Amino acid sequence: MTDEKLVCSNITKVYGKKEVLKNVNLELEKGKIYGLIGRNGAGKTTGLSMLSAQNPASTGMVMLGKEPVWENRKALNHICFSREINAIGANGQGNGSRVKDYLRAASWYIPNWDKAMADRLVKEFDLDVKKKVIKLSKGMLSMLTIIIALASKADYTFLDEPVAGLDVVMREYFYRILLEEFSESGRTFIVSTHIIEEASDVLEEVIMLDKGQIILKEDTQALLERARHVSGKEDVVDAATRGLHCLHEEKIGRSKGVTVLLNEGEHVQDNAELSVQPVNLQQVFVAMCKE
Amino acid sequence: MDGIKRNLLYWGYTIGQMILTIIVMVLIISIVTGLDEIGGILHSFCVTMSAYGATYMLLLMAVLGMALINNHMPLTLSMGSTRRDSFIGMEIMLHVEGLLLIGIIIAAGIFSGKAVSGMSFFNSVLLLAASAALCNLIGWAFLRYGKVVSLILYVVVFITGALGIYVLSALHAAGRLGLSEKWGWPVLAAAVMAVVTADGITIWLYARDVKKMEVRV
Repeated sequence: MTDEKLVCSNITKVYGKKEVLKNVNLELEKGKIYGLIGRNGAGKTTGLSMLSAQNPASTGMVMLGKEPVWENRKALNHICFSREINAIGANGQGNGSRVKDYLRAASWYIPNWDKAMADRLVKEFDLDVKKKVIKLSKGMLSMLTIIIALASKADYTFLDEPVAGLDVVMREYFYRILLEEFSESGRTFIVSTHIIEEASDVLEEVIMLDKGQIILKEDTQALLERARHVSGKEDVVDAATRGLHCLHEEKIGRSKGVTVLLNEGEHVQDNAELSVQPVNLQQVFVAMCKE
Repeated sequence: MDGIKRNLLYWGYTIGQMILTIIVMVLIISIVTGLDEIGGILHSFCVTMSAYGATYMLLLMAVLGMALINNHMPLTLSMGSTRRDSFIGMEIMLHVEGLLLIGIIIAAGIFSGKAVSGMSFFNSVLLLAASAALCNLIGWAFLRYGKVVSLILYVVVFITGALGIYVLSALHAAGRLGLSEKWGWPVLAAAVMAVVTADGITIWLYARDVKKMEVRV
């Protein structure tokens, strides 16, 4: 097990004329669950691909301690990016592999592969290992992704949309086993998700990505403690929030609502003319990323 | 070495499975056609394998070229392999298992009564290098230019190949193909050298593009 940090410096990724990632700098510590959230096309999967050397960066570098990650088996042995598996490949051809082919390949390639754990999860998810990937439902594909990620026992494990397609019972089960594995192993997980509110209790730190740039990286609880929604008559709200870091505002008639991020020492007083409410992670995200 | 070992295991299994498909295919043909034969199914298998094994191998290798780069290489990279280890593992197993298949074809030939000469060795190298070069060429075209171009290339190669075989057979039948004792060996040696060089060039081209390959699944 490594105690080294995973650091990416000045990562840029360009596809044709489109800059998908813009000068991204990120430092990931050992033993945390990070949430990677962003809108569709924000660059989440591309970012995870760069961190795990599955795709090359146009510029910049990813390092695990002193080791560069790109084409470096020593560093890659500590990283697992369990990608969203698709029934139809990028070239439009059906994925004819079976579930057991993926699990077999994982057992050969991943140095700390936990077969017992993989077998247990296959049983608990009731996944048919003989089934072809092309015949799996969206939920079953997610299950396969989760099994590979958790049984990899990699120090840095990235999960791309792991709960997409899972029903609410399975989603709760996933978060439970993720927390169990985290508390037992102290591994680092990065979970990208669109179902933000459900995951927010699990995420120790949140990384928000918008238009290829990291717009926020902060402890989830600290972020929620300083985020507030202030509403009331427009002039009262304006007076109360003057000088504060305003994320988003909306007006309905003469009323106004403002989502603010308070810095240390700043506060907004709740009074008869003004409502100050805490906000959840999803509301912070929407406020930050709304056009 | 650990990374190469993992890849030898994966590629050995994957390519081996596909080569096994050829053997099973020939076996099925043999069962169908060999029931009434005097020598039985085994004899029929050997005759079919020695007659058509090389053609089946070339056909398989071309299809393999697309499958390996489209399905299997991305899988190995997503499991944490480096591009270098994966490519080396793939090329080694492609050649080693190709050689094994050629061994089976030769053994089938001997069993069915064909004579084995010094030329068989050159023919084996020729077949191995040609099939590996074809696999690499189609795979490289798929990686660099996409599915449509590689499919067009596949069709062009096979139409050209089929025409070539037809013309050579016609010349042979007309007795206009015979090379003198003096020229037979040099011509074969030159052909082997040309095809081995082509194999080397396709490996180089392929390796150059795999180095910066993107995983898209």
